[in-house]
Amino acid sequence: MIQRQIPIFLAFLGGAIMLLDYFIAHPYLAWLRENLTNWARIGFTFALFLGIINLVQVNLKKVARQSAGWGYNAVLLICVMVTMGFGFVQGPTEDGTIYKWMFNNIYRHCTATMFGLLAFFIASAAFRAFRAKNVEATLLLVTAIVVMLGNVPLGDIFVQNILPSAPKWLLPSYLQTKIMEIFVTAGQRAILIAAAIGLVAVSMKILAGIDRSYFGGD
Amino acid sequence: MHISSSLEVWVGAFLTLALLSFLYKDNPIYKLAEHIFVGVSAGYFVALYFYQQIIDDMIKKAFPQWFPWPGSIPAQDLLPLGGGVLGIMILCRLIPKVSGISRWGIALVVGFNAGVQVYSQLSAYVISQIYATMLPLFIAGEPTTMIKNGLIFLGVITALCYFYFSKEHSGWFGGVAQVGIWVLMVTFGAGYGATVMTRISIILGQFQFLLRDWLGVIK
Amino acid sequence: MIEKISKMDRRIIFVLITIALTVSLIYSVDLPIKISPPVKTMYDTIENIPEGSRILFSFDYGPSTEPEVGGTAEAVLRHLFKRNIKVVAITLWDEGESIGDEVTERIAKEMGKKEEEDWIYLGFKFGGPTGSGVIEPMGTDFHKVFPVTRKKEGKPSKSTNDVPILQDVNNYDAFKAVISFSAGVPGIKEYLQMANSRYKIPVTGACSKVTTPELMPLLNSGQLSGLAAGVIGGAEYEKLMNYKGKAHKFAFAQSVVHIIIIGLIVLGNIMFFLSKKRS
Repeated sequence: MIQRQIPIFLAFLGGAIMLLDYFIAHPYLAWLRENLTNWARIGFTFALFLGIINLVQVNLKKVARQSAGWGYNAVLLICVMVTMGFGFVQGPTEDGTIYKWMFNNIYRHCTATMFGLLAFFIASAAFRAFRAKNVEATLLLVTAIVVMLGNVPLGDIFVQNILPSAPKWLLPSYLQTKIMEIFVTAGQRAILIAAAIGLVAVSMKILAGIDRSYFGGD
Repeated sequence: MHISSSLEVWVGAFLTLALLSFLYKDNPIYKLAEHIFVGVSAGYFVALYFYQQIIDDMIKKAFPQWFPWPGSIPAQDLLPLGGGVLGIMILCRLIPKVSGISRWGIALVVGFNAGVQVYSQLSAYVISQIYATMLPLFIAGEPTTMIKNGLIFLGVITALCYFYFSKEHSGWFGGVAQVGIWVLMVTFGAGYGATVMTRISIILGQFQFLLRDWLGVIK
Repeated sequence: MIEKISKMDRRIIFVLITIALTVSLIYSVDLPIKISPPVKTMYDTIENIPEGSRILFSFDYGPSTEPEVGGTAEAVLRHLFKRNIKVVAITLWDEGESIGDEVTERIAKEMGKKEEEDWIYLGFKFGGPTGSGVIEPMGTDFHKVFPVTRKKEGKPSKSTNDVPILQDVNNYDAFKAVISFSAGVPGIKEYLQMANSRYKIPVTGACSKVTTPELMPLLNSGQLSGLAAGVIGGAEYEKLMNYKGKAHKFAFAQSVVHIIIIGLIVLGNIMFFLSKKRS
């Protein structure tokens, strides 16, 4: 029983100190908040290490059991060890190190390509799935087209070539600006307000000890 | 055309093309590149976080005499070691016998974040945004501003009505929520257009690397 | 025929996009760039910062979003140095660690600025998933968040209290603005949420296009003092700075691929309506 009560109390304590500091300007409270923030920042880092340790454990198991595709897992483990090793020995901020080399020539290109792959899938999905089946889908489709055309210089040139005497309000750049200024602002504002209220409700539940999902599966 | 002779460029080009080969179909070269990527990322993050957070934020503050300082040696501050204690509590998750202690560390961190969110979300997103929606709906001599303000005001109200699920969306309320859905559809359409732009920009960067740095076809 | 086109192998679309990207990069055309109000507002915000003041410059992006936001970051840095505004640069993104270092050093060298007097790059600091562990405490004790400088080129790190540009920096009051170049979380939104709402420091910056809709209400409410979004936003800022940099080069290629995607959407819908009519 007490095992569950202590973390609930600690969650309340952490949150209460942060919240009280907003409303009570007292040097001791500020000192407490500063140090708690520092501890939380270091604590987050250890939580990240936990994830990496888990990654290594999972891959080691696969290599040990020689499960299907274990070669790839071995490559992953070697890359982790090599990058980490050089990072620890040479330091992460020094130029001309193997650590930096691996970041600049492996990580940078891989991350950019992985994210960029989505451009192709978006194009394919746009052709296969983006259909004006009802009013809502049509609105979505038309807005997407106007925003895409309006955001690039060629959009206005394209429309002006089809309709040379097109008035200003028909140009994609103008329409795009108005859509963003009016409808997107309104829609996103509602989403922001609703999501913020929801997040505040969840945070209050955590502080009150009602929401204990952060306990995990135990 | 001037193909690069630099090892770095060839490594980057190989990995880029290996990952792009997934567009044809899943294949061993793609899988190899993917695993290299995950491995290097994990190793990169561990070393960086260890130095920037553990060494700079904790060890250097608590034991400054252990490190060379070109200027004055900062005063010792043992308090950051509390973060280390918190971190060790979190790492206890790996040991089944004492894994319960990890909840203490996680609880403090989660509670801290929850406390920050309560104030900041209410202040920045709720109060400020509601304030910004309270726009003048009648301004003499400025019809376009009036229309713009009116549309924003109605758009926010109708979209918020859609998110209100405590009342059934039927009758007049259903009509209002339907208008809210239309406003949200326009928002999502703009979001889709924006996503397309971002993804294209990202892949353009890689194609520029391949054409300029690797093949030397463009300057 | 309609069936054939509707069920076209997606690899044909991939090849089409690849050809479009390649050809438009090789045969690039200079397109006219129109300055949008949010970019002009951002430019004016920086223009109105008094010379000799200090700003906080945050590189909140990684290598994947560098094409979108990197060009704007360079243009703004040049603007700041041209106006003799002191730059204290940090990053909340682990991926942005070396990017921030490389960009600030290169642009500062180009503009003849002295490290630790006119600019400093303090590196990456992890503030949790929302950056609250860094953004929030910078408002009360900056030196506690960044106690030491980055170790670099064999030079050991030193206390930030010994750095001339940081000597009288205690909190956000020492900065005239926060300029964040963000590609996600943490970024501009988090600076607005924590730094602007509590400590009232003006926030401006650039973002990837995908985060622009989320920032529109904040721009409209005046919480955000201008915004340069995506590659085109960067090209607009470069135009205001009277030069053609990274962002300009992508404008044509971006336009071409957009038109192709729009064409695919229209074609897909035409096939849909035709097959609906048939059945």
